[in-house]
Amino acid sequence: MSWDIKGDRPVYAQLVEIIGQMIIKNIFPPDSKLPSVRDLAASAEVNPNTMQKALGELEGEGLISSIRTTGKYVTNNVELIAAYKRKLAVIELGRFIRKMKNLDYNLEEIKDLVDKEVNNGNSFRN
Amino acid sequence: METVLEIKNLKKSYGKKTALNIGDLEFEKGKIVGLLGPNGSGKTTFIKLVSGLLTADAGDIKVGGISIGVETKRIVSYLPDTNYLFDWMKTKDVIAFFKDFYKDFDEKLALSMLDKLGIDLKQSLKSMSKGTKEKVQLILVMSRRAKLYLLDEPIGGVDPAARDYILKTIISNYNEEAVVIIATHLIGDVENVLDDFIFIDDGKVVLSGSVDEIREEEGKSIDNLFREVFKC
Amino acid sequence: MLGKLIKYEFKSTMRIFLPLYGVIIGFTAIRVLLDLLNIKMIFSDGILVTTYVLMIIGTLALTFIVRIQRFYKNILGAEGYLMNTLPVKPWELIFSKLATSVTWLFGSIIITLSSLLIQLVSRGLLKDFWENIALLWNSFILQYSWNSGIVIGKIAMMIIIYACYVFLMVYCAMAIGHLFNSNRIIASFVAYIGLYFTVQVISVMVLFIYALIFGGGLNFLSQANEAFVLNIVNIQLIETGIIAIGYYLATNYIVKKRLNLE
Repeated sequence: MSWDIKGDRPVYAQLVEIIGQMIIKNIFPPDSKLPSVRDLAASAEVNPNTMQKALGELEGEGLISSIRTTGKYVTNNVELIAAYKRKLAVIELGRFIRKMKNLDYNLEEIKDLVDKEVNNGNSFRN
Repeated sequence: METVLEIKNLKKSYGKKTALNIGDLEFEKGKIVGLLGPNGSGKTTFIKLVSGLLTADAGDIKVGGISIGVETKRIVSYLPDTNYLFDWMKTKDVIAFFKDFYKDFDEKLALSMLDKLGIDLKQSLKSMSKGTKEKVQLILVMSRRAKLYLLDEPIGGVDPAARDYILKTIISNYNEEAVVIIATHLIGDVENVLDDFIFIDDGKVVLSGSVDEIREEEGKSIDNLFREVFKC
Repeated sequence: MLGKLIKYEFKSTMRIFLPLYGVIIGFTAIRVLLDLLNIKMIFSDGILVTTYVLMIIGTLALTFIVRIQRFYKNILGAEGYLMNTLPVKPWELIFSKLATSVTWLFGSIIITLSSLLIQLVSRGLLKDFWENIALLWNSFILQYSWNSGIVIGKIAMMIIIYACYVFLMVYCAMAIGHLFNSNRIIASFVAYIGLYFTVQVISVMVLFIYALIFGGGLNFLSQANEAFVLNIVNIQLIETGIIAIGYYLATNYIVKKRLNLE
């Protein structure tokens, strides 16, 4: 998992996404301690204040909690993480469907197309 | 918020050529600020004025409320765009030198960074490559618990691996109570590291603000914005 | 901080001067040893003497060159980025350079003179020399009823003032050269020549004014007495001191206010 930060959007929003994905993918497992803000910022090569802001947003989502001075921990609430994963998936799906509609597909056609392509073995592995 | 660096109506000319002419600027503690602009735009002149290497023709500069002089040099950590270390010294001599002259120098931090790079304390600076020397300079400058860091083109002319090392070293080690000013023309390489930016061209401030706000408003990177504005 | 500056100044130049002094001492020791053992060299004594003289001249020349180059590189050159951002005052920087320069100059003079004297002693050539010196000295002391302490003190002071003067003149010339945006080294040479002639003119003027007031006019040389001549020495010394201070202040002003490193 890399810190691939693009130029067209605010850095903090991208950091929220990337760290969220790292939690979902178990790179930061439930109940584990996160590296310090400085260290995270250094490995992402971003501003520590921006990293702080991104972690704050994830804290708002309940994915991360600060334990006084000892640092930040990933939540031990596995269901919450699953729900967050789902939420991101739905957002991503919404984007996909909008794009397909622009190509003049309706929902049925989209489903068919996905089934067909997956069955053909022409799947979208990566 | 505490103001670390305060600039008022700064002017500097070399002969007839005006190198810098800027109004009022304030830098608040905890911020990493990019001083961006093409070569010859006045970035180095600005840095040299604040470091005390140049004297302004008019205006006022205050670091921590004090006008530029011996007192501000104690709290300003400056990385020039040139190799300034004494060739005759060994690494350990430079460490001793910094410890002797700067009370805020954190020797342990410097030693641990040198150790991580595998630099031998007995190695003379003369025998180091240009890249290694630059890293040693950066380590010395970032090992000071300064109030203001002035970094002039810290990533100019280095390969991507060295660039990563330099940015990581800056992020990991600057004093949180301080202001870090990074002067560079390589906007794309540093913009993720910045809180705020000041873009100067031809000695004047063209645009300044928060990096994330500009990205949000314009939907493009600072780098792209300036490429469009200045067609450079 | 001044002490630390001087410490590093010595550290940086020790590497050059100590080996140099070592060579001179070694050379002297070999010569003395050869004399004691009465060994005749295969090649002529002339070559040895020539080498030796060149070595002595070289040492003194090197003392100047190294010290001047140190000032240029360390304050007005690339190392100036470090030195001029240290929390020290510009006058401390200049003073540390000057004090170190004068000390090394003394060191070089003492080493070369001692080496010379030791060799003369070892060749038995010194008896007459010593006697002559003693004679001259005594006549001096008697004639002007000075005591030797004052004379030695005065000579030492003269050497220090002149040494400061010589180094500060070069520092000042380099600082003036630094005011130019290009060809700074050439500008420094021109500034040096300019300073040299200015000082010559001032010297002559001071001398004439003195002569007019105390010497009874321009034909003072014909009627010069000893007191008059000795006073000229004093005046020259004071004048040199004042000009040296002027150089110091000018150099300090330029380093403080007009620095513009490339």
